[in-house]
Amino acid sequence: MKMGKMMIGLGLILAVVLLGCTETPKPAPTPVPTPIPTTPVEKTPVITTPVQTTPIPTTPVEKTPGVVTTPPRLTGEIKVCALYDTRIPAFKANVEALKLAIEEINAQGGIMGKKLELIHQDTQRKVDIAITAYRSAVIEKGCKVVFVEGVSEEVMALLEEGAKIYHSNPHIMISSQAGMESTLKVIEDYEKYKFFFRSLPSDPEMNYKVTKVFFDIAKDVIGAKKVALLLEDAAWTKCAREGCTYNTKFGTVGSKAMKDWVKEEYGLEVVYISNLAVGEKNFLPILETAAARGAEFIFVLSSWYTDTTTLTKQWASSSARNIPIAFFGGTAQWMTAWNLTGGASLGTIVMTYDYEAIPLANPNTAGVIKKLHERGISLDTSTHYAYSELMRVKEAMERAGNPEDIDAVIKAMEELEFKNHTIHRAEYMFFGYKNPNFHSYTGGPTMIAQFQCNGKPVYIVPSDVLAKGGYVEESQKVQPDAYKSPAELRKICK
Amino acid sequence: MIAEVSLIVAYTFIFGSMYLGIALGFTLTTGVLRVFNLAYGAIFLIAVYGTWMFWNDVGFGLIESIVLSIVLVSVFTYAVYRIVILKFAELEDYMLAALVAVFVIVEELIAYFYPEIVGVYIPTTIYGELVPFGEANIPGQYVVTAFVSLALLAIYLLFFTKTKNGFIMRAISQDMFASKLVGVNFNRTFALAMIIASIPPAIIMLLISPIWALNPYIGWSVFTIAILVAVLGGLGNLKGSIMAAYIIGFIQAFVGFLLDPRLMLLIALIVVMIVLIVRPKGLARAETIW
Repeated sequence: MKMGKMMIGLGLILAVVLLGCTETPKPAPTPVPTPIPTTPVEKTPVITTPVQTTPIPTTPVEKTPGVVTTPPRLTGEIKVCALYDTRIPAFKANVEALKLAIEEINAQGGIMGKKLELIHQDTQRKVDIAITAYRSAVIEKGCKVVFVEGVSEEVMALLEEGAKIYHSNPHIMISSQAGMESTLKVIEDYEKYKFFFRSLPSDPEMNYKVTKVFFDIAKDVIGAKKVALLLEDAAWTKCAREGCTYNTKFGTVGSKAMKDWVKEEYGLEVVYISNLAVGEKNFLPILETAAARGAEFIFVLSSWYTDTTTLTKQWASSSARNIPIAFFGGTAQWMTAWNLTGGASLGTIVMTYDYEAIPLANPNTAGVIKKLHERGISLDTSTHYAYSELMRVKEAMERAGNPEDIDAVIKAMEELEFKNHTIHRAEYMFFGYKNPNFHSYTGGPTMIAQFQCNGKPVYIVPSDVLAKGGYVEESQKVQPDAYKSPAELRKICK
Repeated sequence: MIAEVSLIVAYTFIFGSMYLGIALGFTLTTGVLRVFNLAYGAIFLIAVYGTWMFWNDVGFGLIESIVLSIVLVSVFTYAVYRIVILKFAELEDYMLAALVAVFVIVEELIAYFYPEIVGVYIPTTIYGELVPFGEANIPGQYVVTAFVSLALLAIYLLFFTKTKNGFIMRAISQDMFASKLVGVNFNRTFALAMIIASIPPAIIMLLISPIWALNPYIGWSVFTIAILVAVLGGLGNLKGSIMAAYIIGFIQAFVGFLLDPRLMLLIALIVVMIVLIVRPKGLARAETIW
């Protein structure tokens, strides 16, 4: 071989590989939060609060409970398409969640007598393949509802494709895509993009309202005064890294950079900030520096793109291992994280909805988690979203009175106060507010647990935070007093 | 400042030694066979998932499972040699494509049987405490990995400088045709080189599994480190690989502790590219293994 040329060639390949796709198929950017208050739209932002949702709250929708009256029985099938690369565990889980929802809906007689049929197509997370699959799903297979994996570039391409074919082939697209740009499209050109719903809060909400609860824990449960912020270097974290403002015709939404609001609102000193490169494997310099700067709490704002398993393992073996660490997303959300890390996640603080005994009011939540666990699936929040969104579609179709009338179904989706979401209260995933969260979720406090002995999660969110967020009965079941430092847990869990 | 210096020195040693261990086998294959074994990344996967299979699914003890997985790695490597490398010896482009295909097949098979959600974990922690170094504290398992890498390097050097097979491999790496003329058994030596090259990555992978995530796609991440070191060092040259591993280790430690950890990989790549532009054949120009 001609070694010199070969080496330069290999060097170039390396650069591309290392910078681009080192750590493979980590799924979507979807970080995934969970909210839950009572007040639909935030109208008066708190003074220090970065987020200034200048809503235009609009018509708090008609919340007429009894919507449908003996709908006519229809024949035929309603096709639901799922465009997911199931090599990615999170996407496989989404497909399984849709299957489960369809089985349950069909077992109850379908939607107005029509059975649902799931068609899964693999996108390989490539835009061109996704577009082909999407066109085929809508035009050839006649799908009325299309679930799309939350990969931003894909969703943005599919939105344009969908806009072209909507009028000849009306359908609904649902995705837990992270970037705000898709929501902006719906707001700015409603007629063109109204078929799109984003099962995720807008970026400022995600980076501020959803993450706040971690700092409530840092301050009130742990008693930390100095914090380190590790922020994934991706588009969806821009609001946390730099601050952001979005002006829309429905109002303005934005947030300050996390380092600023953490200091202003919580009085916490930010002693270290580091951006995390996607695919990074060496977290030790970051962890050691955080420890050297005296951090008393480490917050990791991450999605699936950040290798939280490696980060957890390295945290547990580094000088930072006695500093409480909290993860927003990634594999840390799964109960399996305990096995994946060989127990190194002992003491870590995570947002998790993968525990059957989670203290949530919805009577369906534990059942869904259990059934999916029986299928070998771990759940992150997007798994709950997939299941719940299909249930919402069912109610919307019934409310519309005709599953084929997609314009009416979209209207119903916007007006429906859906109460059977497995992890959110109705107000937080209400699609119809004509504010910057239009057709997307709203942010709020989430359920945060600490992995204690044998990987058992103990929910440690302060009760008052939950109460303010609308969790009333459930707040009795959390145990912020049960929080233990990682060092203490290592002693008692041997 | 003293703390930072301690950290940079310590982590240059840690990262450098670990990268050297990861790249050792690749350097050997490239140096002796003059083949870019693009299936090398599969070795990392077979080592850990093989151990998991024998340990968790078949029910052997951990040590037996590790030994069996290394045997499995050797069998796999030999099969790759017989089925792909020999077959496409004269058709290098096809050989490279076939080797990548082998890697992807292994990856997909593992992803099918052991998706990430299975929660594969190999408890190979040898020393889990912190090791003080100046004002820094280093994770014990990293220190163990670094010393095992150096031990493997020492064994390899002894092999190349003291054994008959080592001499033969160096002879081949210096002049393939001349060694053929003096009666070297190519097939046997190549197969042996492939097999002994597969052992260091397997061992290092098992040692770093308590501190790195294990998932079916981890092979690429580790393999790219091996390529980076080998390319910078001058493909197939052990001296070059040693220099390259520690240079990359130093860059990462320096950037990680003094500049911005976000830039560790980027700056390492920029330095590698600059070195390659100046010295297209890498740091060690000689086309020999040692």
